[in-house]
Amino acid sequence: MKPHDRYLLSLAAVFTLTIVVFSMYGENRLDLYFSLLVLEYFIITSLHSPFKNKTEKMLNCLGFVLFAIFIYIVINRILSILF
Amino acid sequence: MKVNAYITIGFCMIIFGSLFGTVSYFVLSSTPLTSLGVSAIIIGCVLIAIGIGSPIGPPDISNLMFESSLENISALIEEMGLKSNAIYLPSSMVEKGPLALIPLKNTPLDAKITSKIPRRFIVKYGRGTEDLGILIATPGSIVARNNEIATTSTISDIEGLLNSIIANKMELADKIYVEESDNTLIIEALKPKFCEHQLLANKTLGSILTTIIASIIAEASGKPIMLHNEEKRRGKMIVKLKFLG
Repeated sequence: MKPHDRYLLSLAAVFTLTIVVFSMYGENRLDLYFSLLVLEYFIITSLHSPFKNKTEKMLNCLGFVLFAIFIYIVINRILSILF
Repeated sequence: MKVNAYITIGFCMIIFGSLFGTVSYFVLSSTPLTSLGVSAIIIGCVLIAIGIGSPIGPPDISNLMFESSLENISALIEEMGLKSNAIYLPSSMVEKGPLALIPLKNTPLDAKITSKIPRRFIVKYGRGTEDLGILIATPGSIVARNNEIATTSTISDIEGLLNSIIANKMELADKIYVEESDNTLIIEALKPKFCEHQLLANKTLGSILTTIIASIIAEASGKPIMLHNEEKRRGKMIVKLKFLG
């Protein structure tokens, strides 16, 4: 199996497992699901890196977008606790 | 532009994920299904990233260009009657990046390269009158030049570096193991690609995979390294490289 296929397969398996396990426990917070998906994305990506240059650039862009949304969720959560 | 399968599936995943996530959130009010849609969008983006990195042009063209350049080198080696094995030099020892040096006489194991070798075709690398050789760029030279290779001296770091570039990035082997014994590195590549010996240049420089391995090790260790032996067994290739000086 090619390394990028292994990367895709592990990403899909971990995402599915997370969603199934947390839904079984009746979890209903979308920000929690999203934060976990982002965290898993970064862990699995760093475990399978390096990639080819163009892929690496594109994945960095995706990581930047996901991290920005994650920061937005965190700030939102902090503000909701404070006010 | 010819679009490969990864990009097509990636766009399909993004569209499916967006629709599924929107319906799950606004109509079904189900958070797990919404997050399933989000995960489909992420995987779709990853698929597109992998598709963009994959070659879309006909691979035959690059093969033709590569084979013709290797045939030219072989013709040159044959005409000059060179029989000694190549010495792979790091960028600290030769101008304009890592290159391979083929000595005109038999490879001296105690060869000491005292100063930085200028980037010419025929060069004098030692103090002796017969210390002459030719400098050529190999596929490994280009790989070592295009990747940021940090200087390291430990075997585990070298093994990690080879696996990162050759196994993960270039997919030229499944796994690479490195051992050291008596100033010689023994490198074992599992399920190697491009390890055939077809031309005379391969006898002097080693296979394509060997040139890449040797250039990366020379660059990482900052020392010249000579091809000692290369053999292919069932499903693996064993390369022996000797540090010089």
